[in-house]
Amino acid sequence: MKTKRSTKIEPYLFILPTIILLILVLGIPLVNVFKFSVGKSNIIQGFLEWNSFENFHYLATPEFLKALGVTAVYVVFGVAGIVVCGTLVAVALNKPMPLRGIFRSIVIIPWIVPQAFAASMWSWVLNSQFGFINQLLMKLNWITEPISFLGDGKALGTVIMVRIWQGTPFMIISLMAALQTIPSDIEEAADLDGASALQRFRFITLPYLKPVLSTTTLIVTAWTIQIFDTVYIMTNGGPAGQTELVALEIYNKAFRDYDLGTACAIALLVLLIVGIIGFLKFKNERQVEE
Amino acid sequence: MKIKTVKKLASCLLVASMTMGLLAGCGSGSDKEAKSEKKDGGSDEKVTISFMRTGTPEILRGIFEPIIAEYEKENPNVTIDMQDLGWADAEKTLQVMASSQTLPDVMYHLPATIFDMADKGLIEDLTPYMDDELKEDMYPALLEAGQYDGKQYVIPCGATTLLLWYNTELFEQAGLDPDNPPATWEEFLAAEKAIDEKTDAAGAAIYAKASGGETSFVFESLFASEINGPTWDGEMYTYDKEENKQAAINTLNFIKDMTQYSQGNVEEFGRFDVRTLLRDGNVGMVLDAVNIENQIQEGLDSGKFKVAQLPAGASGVQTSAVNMGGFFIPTNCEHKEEAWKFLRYLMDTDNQKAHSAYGSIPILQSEAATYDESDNNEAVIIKSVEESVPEGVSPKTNSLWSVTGEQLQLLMMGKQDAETTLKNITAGHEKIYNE
Amino acid sequence: MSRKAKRRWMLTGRMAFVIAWCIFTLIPIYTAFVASLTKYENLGKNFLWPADLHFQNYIDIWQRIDLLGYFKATIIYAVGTSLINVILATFAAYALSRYKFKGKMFYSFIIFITQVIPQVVIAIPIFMTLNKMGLYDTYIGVIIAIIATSMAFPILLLRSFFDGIPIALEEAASIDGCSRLGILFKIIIPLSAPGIATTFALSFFTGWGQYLYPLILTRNANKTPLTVGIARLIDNQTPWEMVMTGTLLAIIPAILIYLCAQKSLVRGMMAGAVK
Repeated sequence: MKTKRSTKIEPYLFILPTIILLILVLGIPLVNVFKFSVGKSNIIQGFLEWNSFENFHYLATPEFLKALGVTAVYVVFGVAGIVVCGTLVAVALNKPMPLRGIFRSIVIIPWIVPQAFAASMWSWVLNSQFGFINQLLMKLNWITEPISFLGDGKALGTVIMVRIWQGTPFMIISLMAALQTIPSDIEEAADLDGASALQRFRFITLPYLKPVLSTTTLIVTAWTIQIFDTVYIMTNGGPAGQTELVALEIYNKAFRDYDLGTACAIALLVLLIVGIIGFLKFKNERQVEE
Repeated sequence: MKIKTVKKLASCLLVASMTMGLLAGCGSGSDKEAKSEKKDGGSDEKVTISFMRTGTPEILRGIFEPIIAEYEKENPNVTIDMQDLGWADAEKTLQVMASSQTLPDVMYHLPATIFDMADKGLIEDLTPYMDDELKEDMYPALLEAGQYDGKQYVIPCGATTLLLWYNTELFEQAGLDPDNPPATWEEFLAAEKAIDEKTDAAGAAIYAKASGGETSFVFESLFASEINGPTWDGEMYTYDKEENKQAAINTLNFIKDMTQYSQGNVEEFGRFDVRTLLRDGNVGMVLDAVNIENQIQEGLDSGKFKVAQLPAGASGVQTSAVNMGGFFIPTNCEHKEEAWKFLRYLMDTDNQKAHSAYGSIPILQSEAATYDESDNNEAVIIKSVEESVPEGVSPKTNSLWSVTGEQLQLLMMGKQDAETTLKNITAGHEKIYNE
Repeated sequence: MSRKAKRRWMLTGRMAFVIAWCIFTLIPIYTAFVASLTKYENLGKNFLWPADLHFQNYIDIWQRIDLLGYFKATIIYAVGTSLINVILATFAAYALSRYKFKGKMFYSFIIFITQVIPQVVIAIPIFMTLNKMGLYDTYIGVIIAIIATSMAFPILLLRSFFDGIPIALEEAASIDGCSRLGILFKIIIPLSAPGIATTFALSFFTGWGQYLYPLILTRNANKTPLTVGIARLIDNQTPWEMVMTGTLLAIIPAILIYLCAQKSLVRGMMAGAVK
């Protein structure tokens, strides 16, 4: 689909502003992250001395590996939930229905609530003593004992649910925009041909959504990996380390243990993992293009 | 917009470099002159002192703005620039300010962070500035809590001991004497049991949410009264020492026993949440800091809630650790004399008393003297300060707390026994001590 | 089943699903609303319905914190971020969509990677760099930091929109003597209006909800955005009723902006259809 033009410099002019910005604002700091990770470093004094990759030893500790496992569960289920819910809501909202405008504005609200406050709101919804849900269920006599949403064994599921709550609006907004690009005559034709709703979704809607869907999924994955405010406030990694995410580890290393070196080492690992995922996607895309 | 900014930047740079040039031209001689002039007090050179008190600005400004106005009236050459910093962001912001040498001239924070910065040469030793009057007026445990490596880096001005807050109505319902609250661990457990069995409420509120500092403070305070001695020897927690092993296990067993008659799901509760439990009559007692007052003020006034000293362990002495925050002056401050003068002014009895209203026990003995002695609650608070030991604090405190907090959470959730808890705490701490 | 009946069932199903989702979305907002009507002394008593109907909180908050000032700073961050982001992203996405060039893969990969750098880690080095550049405690410093770590999605989203526009249209225009920029402005941009409006809205929210960058990259009180200003209330004795009142007030303008962007989206579609 590409045009073959001989202009060699044009595309570079188009991307030049972003490149300048990236080098200035991210390039230099990123070099520093590398530097910090290979030495004894702290925020106040920066890089102090080379310590022969000692920071990376932390990545092999059982403590960290456990956090990595928890993060994997959190990211996989969180992202899957966001993708599925986001697609369903966007498709449901795509066609006219009564009060659609109101629904459309309601579904994006979580996106605008700052994370720190969303966490407090959810704590009140879920608290076992005075939380909204427990109070409601008790009043309705559906339960006799309060459910301990943030307690042993349930906390990880709960923070994943909150992540889905927060992340889905982004998916909805992007997909609603993409759905607009589907020519309505195609859908109508399929409808007249007697295609079922599921068939229409599978063979018409989904192919149109695919490019946006794959990009948003990737971005949502990247974001989910670095979420920490909500979890920090709701459970602070507890109970018994069941919600100890890698992002929390980074934060704790940098700000609690004054160990920027190890924090940067963890960050580099995260970068590497997501980098690989991204690389595979882009490679795949190029093959499709060629 | 971009061009404008660049232009602005360029002009700023120009001005800055010109100023630098001028300064360089003046040389050091004139610098000294300026300083001596200031000491004479003869000059009307304008000085701006930036001041930051971590906490809720809306309350703090109400406390400090009148004091600042008064100070500026008395010292017309000084302007105090009060800046805000919330607790939620304190650690991050502080480290950023420290790294860029832009810490405010007078600032309030917690000793662990300040000592860490002192290690890095960023904090002024205030020992030479201290006058005898202040030294003698301040409670010794507090004064000591502000010292690190024998130097007074912090001037304590906000502090708390751990106290027992209880609901007198529930005490009566459970057949307990509200004027005779539990004074030992055994009595505490018995009272918990009575309340749990004879009323709709749980015996005591326990907070076990993993946040380190809150639960470590409980453990440290209880341990202090078990051994009636210091909890920190300058290098390590005394409960990490072999000779105190049994005392530490006893303390942990008591903490575990407390959860027997507490509200459920202790791991979901932080301090803020348990306060609402006490306030709403869902629990009979809670071990908490003095700033719970603001949340249960009404009940304290009506006599529904009362406060007692922390129940005593084996030593029989109702001691507690005292946790504090205080003012410090960074080495990057340009007007240290002026900064100290303002800090010292804040420590005047009346000003400190106003400051303590934010949620602190009295810091100065002259301040305690203004308390109403006939008021039981106030008398209890003063007594607990007098009998307190300083909380163990070092640059490694935050890391140590996180280990303690995590292990205590497992203990309170009933996932491990006291022996294992102590073993894990000691092992975790050992690693941090040796780093 | 007749087609009409089937349609009705579909609509009912869709409605039911959307309503269920909206309830899920609104539960926390409702508890926040309940808290915002409560007096401090009664917080945490009941979240089913307000313990008090203390609407006074919505008046008091303007005096208790500098909400107006926070709004001003927030709007500057949000508008600055979205404007610059949309402009930069349009150019970059056009290059990615219409040209083959050396390093294209690498470039898109780098763009993507910018999304993944944990803010907690990069914020401090960014601060050090901006401080050296003299951009510490400036609006523009915060804005470029936000953009640098959030431009991936706008670029990738717009690219997928541009990819969907038939190349034939452009070729026709170029025969008519349109320059590349002319094509971009006269054909591509109008045709991708929904994408651009969405990009604008998403960047706007990104700027609106920023927390860490304004916190670390500014000092002066007049550059404090809503998020940071309200979070300052969090303490041992947090006045949660004020925090929630402030949060709810902060959400409203963002939603209004989104609705406006959506309108322009529809209009953009119409314009595209006419052509």
